[in-house]
Amino acid sequence: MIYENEIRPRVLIPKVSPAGAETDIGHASFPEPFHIGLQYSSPARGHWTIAHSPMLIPECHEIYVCYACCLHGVVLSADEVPDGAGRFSMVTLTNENILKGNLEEMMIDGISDIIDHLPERPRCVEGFTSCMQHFLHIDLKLVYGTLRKKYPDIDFIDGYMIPTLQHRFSPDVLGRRQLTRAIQKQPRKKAVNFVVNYFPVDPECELVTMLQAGGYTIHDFAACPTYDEYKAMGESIANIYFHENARPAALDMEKRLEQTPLYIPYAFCYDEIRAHLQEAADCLQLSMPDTDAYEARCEAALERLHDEVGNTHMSIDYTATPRPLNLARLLLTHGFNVYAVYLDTVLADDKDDFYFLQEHYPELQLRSTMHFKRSLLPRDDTRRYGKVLAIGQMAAYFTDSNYFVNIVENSGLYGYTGLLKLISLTSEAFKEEKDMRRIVQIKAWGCHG
Amino acid sequence: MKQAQQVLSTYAVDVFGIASALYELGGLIIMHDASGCNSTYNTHDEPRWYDLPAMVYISGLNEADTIYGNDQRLIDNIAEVVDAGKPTFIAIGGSPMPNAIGTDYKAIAQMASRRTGIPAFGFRTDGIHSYLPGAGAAFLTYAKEFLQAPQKKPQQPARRVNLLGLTPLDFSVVGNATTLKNLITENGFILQSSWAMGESPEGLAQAANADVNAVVSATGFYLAQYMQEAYGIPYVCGLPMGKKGTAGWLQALRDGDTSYLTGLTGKEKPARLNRALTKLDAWKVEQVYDDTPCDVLLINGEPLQLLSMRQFLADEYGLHDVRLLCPLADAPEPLTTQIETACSEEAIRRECRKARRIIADPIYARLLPGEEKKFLSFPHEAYSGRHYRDDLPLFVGPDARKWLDEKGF
Amino acid sequence: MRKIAIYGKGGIGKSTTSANISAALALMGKKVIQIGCDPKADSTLNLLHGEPVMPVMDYYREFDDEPDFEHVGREGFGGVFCIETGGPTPGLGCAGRGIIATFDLLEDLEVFDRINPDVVIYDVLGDVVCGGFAAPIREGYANEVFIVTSGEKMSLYAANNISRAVENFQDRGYAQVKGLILNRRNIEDEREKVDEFAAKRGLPVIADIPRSKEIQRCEELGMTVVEDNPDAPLSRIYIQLAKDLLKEEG
Repeated sequence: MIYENEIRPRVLIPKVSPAGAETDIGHASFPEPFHIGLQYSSPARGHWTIAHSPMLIPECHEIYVCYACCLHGVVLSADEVPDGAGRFSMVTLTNENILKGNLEEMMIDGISDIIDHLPERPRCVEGFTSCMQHFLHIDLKLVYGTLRKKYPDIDFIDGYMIPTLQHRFSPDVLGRRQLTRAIQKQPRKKAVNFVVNYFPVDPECELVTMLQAGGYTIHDFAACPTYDEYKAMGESIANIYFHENARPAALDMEKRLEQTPLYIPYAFCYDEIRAHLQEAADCLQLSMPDTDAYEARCEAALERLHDEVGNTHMSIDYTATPRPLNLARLLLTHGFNVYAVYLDTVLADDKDDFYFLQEHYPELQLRSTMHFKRSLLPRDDTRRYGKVLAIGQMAAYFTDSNYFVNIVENSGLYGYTGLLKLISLTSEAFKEEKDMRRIVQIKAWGCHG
Repeated sequence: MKQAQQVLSTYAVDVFGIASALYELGGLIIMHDASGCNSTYNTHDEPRWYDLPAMVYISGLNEADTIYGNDQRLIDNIAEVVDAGKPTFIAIGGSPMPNAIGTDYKAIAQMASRRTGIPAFGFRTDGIHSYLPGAGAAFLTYAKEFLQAPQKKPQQPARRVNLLGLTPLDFSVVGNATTLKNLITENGFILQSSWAMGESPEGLAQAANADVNAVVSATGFYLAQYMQEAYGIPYVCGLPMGKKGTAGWLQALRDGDTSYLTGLTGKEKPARLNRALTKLDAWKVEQVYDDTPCDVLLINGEPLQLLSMRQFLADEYGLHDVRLLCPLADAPEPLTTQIETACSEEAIRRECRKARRIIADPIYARLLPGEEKKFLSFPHEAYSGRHYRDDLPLFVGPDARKWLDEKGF
Repeated sequence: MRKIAIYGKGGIGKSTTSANISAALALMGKKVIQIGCDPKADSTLNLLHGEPVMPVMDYYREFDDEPDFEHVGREGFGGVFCIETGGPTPGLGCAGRGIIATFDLLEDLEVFDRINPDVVIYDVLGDVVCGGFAAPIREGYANEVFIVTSGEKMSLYAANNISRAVENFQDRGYAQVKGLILNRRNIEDEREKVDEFAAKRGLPVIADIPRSKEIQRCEELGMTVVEDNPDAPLSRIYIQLAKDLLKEEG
């Protein structure tokens, strides 16, 4: 039983002004609205980490080769999903390895030792190196080359947990790319992949219907039931991706597997949804659905939602969707009272929306989630504004609202159907309180190992 | 391969120990590491994170700063926070990368202090050693800066008691800290200060007025030795567990009996804190121990929990064939003379095979698949974080056997 | 206890200078520790009659354990206690970490307390590299720095880099450069060039060591010039330098 006095002792909390951590969009600059010095990290943790995403590859075993400090986080995070621990091992780096300079040898020996002692032989092993190996520039080709020779029946993926040394790619972007590296070229079939999303694309969405009607088999990275199904992604002619962070993965697959990359990002405003569907239709010779009918349904649904929520304060965060400003734009232009969007940078896809909002809704607040002041600013919007309807876990935590839509990275919602479902989820969220405290602290929401 | 761990976890590291120890004291605490690396501490090791705002941040170290050894950005960022948040001190500790390039935390602290005008502590941590010396160094350093000279000399029988070494890493937030404090105040003592859960900085500053220090985890041991040397305050190591154990502990406090449980004299040389933070081969200690089977094996990273629980099992259950295993080789040496140390997965598995029953964090049960029944779950926040917090017992006080009985021990 | 760090361009004669200073101090009855802080581990060779001490990092690599006091160093000429940090396998690992780890170990073994030296000489690797470069001048280690240089352009260039780098550490409370030691290479106007540089940086030239074949001859024998013949003119220069170094403090 948690003792309230132990988690909430009487301590003087510094009072700070929001300046620097919050700005109205009218005065914000693109794409970095904030100067981030020392960084805070919120307890809302539904977004996924590189400890979780490899679990989407069936029969893949993760082996992290890092220092205790880095391992402590990933092992316990992996442990929180069912059988996460059974799919996770580690080799602990120490100062001794730096002094001796035997980082390659210890990695080969360590990974071998773990594979030899696993109760079942994994079909795929993703090894993870940390900042140190790369700072000292170890020869990874030698390491994985040796391992591949030693275990020819196992696919090895070189994974990276190198937050200090991110050059072109953030850990998430690089992580997504590496997840596709065990896919090899296979004889072509009329098939497409969805890459590299952490949630299966909603099978009811019109994109899936279009593809099926066009005779395509769909391999959804996030919904591979077996390792063979994962490998079957090598037979597809195209990779459809929805998140900017998956671009390097799709481009890499184009180069390695000669699969056409097709970027049709998540979007909420109709013209964009329509344009993306059209792009898919053109690229894959599909028939378009009746977009006018969809749009009419969305309009009606938005109207009904507006009747319900009226002028209720609404906030959105970037973990709910990679397009928080596009969503804010849709809602604001339909009369909703969106007052705050939580984000730290504006992604390129949201650029037009940023400038649109800057011009038409200059008072919309942008709020940083990692600025040092965020931890000290009161979470009192619910007391200031009354009920706050939040879209996303971080928005819910920071506004202290139990009325929130619990989605992470769009949670598979796509297109008009996705929007309709989001509207319905928002309506539910408005009506029913959730156990925010419990939900937002769960790592990698929806990751089932 | 001693470094390979197929199923086990790792303990909270040094820099997390610093943050945990100083969390409530109004300081600015910085982990010098890459963006995102703080979520480990925040998620798994800090149960106060959701409810209690604190100035605990990550520096967002990047490659350029590492290669160029650029500490200036860090100093500027520190100054920005000091200006807005008005912390009363700065504590900075590091992680593997700054350690590899030899970052000089003392120098950084000196620069930060000069820039901001408040005390700053630099901790030579590397993210490799455990929270024991980390939190230990934090308590000691904080005390050296803020302790005020005592107005009174320590009295005997003792009345005023400090609790040293209270962090959620060893006690979680399930009432153990509260019970310890209640035991003090309900048995004729005055609680002088608690280091450092539920205590104000003003209260801590008066700690040298205590008659005795109750060291309740190894993280408080360094400070206890210091206060013994500086102010002549005797210390008592151990935890009150069970009726007899609680009575014995209270009596030892009254008498200022340093030999209680540990056999220490109080005249020992100060435990080598810097050594604990820099020792190169702490991780691979692996003596070969006696092969005789034993009845109960206790595994715990915190030596005083081990010693106290052994006493408790003898008192309450009449068990005497109990072995103690600490997987942390950087625990203070004077506290581990009666404890076996083994760090590698294989060595710990070997020790587990020798025992009929094992009381340990539930993660250790994975060492012997199919024999999980041998293991009795005693979660340790510093090891498995929040994962098993629901199962974390109230393990101190006269009713300590309740949780073991409920588990059918 | 005086703690002096000797810096300078690689190959300029730091180790020769350090070893001769140590030998001279030993002759004056001083207890000296010389610590070679360079993966090359050749700082103390000429104090040990060519029989090298096992560097701390090599010991670590070979025995998988830290050396104890008996194995951390060895006494050489005049009782000078010789220690070499050594480094990782060339091309792998981190040399700076090796220096820092050795210092940690010296502290843990209480080497200074046990030997109680009058002078500690840190002979530091020639080039400005990672944190290992500054480790010998941090708080608690060397409290004064001397740079060995010739009048050659590249040597003065290196000396300039070193002295500026050290100057940058001033706000960290590190040791500062106290002077230059001219180790001649017999180039034209050598003294003038060094004097000009010294004036620019506001540093004294505390010794002027002539180029001499004697040094090489003695090195062949595995010893310092001072050991070979304390009365030789060159030895007298080193002895004077040692005396001046001791005086410097005041």
